[in-house]
Amino acid sequence: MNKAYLILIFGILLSVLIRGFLTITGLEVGDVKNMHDAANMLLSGINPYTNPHLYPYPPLFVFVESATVILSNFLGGSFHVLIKLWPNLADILITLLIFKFLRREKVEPIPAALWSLVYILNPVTIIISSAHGQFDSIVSLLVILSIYLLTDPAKKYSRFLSPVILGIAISFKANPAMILPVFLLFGKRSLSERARFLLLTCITIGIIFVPFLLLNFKATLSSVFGYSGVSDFGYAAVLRALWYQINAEYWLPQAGDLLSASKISFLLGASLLVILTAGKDNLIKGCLLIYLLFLTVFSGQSAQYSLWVLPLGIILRQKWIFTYSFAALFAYFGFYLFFAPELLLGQYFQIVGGFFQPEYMTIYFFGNLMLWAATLIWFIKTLKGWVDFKSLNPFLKKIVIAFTALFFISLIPILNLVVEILKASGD
Amino acid sequence: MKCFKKGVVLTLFLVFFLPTAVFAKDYLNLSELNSLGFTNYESINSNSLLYPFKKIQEKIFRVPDNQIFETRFRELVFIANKRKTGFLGEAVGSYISITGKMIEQQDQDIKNGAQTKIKILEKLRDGYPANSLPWIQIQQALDTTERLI
Repeated sequence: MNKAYLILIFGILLSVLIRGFLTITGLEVGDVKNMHDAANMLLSGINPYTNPHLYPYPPLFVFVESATVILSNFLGGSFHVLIKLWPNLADILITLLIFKFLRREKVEPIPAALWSLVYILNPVTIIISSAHGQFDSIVSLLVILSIYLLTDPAKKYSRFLSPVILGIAISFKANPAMILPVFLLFGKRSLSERARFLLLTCITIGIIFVPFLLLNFKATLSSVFGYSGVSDFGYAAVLRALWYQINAEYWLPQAGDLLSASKISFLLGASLLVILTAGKDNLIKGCLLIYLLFLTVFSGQSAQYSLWVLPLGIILRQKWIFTYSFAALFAYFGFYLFFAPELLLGQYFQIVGGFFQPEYMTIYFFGNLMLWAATLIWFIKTLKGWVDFKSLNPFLKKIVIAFTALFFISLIPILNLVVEILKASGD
Repeated sequence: MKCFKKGVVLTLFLVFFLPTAVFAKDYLNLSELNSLGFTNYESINSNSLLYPFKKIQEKIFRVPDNQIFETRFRELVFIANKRKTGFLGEAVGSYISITGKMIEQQDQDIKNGAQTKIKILEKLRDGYPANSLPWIQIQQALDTTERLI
């Protein structure tokens, strides 16, 4: 056991060194700059949601941002360094939680420590938390904690704490809302228990949202729910790179149509998965499948979305995570070096020769192609053997067939757009 | 499995080669270019996602400068004629860079072929409005080519 702790501590320290270097040499650019601006607005008594696109997340993180501004004024440190402390701290806590999770699953201490380090030393988590400065690891920490508590039969209070923590996670970023149905339908629990979970989650979200809704109802809702993401990753990025070949244009004119079409496909696919996973005991696998479907089907993806699946895949000890991480790293290099080298390289960004260097578009294309293929294969591998169609009752079978048909029909507009883009790339 | 492999090959072909081979709208058609002394386009040009591999291959196999000079010229003609103005700056820059080397080397064959290149570049330049950015970029390539003589 002592050896396992030593491995864990050594890995965390190594990661802290790498993360520290990236954080200190970073710049206040991109999302971090927006975070600073949103915090300044709140501290000036203005609802940050009244500035469209500045703060498209649920309200909770703006309080962390504001506290960080106060802290940086007090300590005299840079905002961009201090704001990155929180996601990095969350990454360390996730690592420890994964270790605890695996030990609870009776995994030997050394393999448990090594699997935990796959998270903290993963280039995806390092780049997102330390270079980019996004806070998705805070959300992931809360999701994993919520799963841990809900699946812990020993503690009764856990059943009350789990929905509250999930509600807090959704109040940081909206993405765990897509796995809320999996939480509700997981396991063999009574209807009142499921209803209580939903109620507690909604009350938590409601309490956090109310002040902002009272200040400016319309602006708050349109900022949070009107944001559909950007086509920076996934198959949309592959299409974007192909489009670039026409005349060096790096915005996909069909991105809006692709977003709308893929949103419908994802909702249908996710509904199908929720039906298929209802009543099953493996909550982590259910959540992982929904996230993987999202990354495979939905076109509006940002860099940080790749992080969501990592802790879930690691807890399930799926080796495909290594292929996925490698592909994601490749895609990240292409994305950051072409579009935003200052996010990845901080003050050393000029070594790549400036923005929009065409050779990095090639890395962006192949990286995203690999990442999308790796995600799709991971999704299929996880789904395989998980769903037993024959065991479903006749009524459910009909529903599953109907949803499957609808899902594949919903892919037709996406395929049409893909063909249209491929054809146009030749004009 | 065989069908899958065929599908992959066909998709790769469509994605990478169709764009540069069939659909592009040319300012001059190939026979017009041929009548000016132009031979043929390169299969991979600076707009292609495969272009960095072509550059790496040139370095690995140490392709001689005079051959690279002809390649860069054909790429420039492709980009200028297909109106891919977003890539024109890069294509002109690469062409001027290798032309500078050729000026220093005083190669007789290159000198002899310069007049043809000038004619083609003049024709391509005139396809753009006078003093527009692409016009100026092609003029820069033209000025450098004239120094070969």
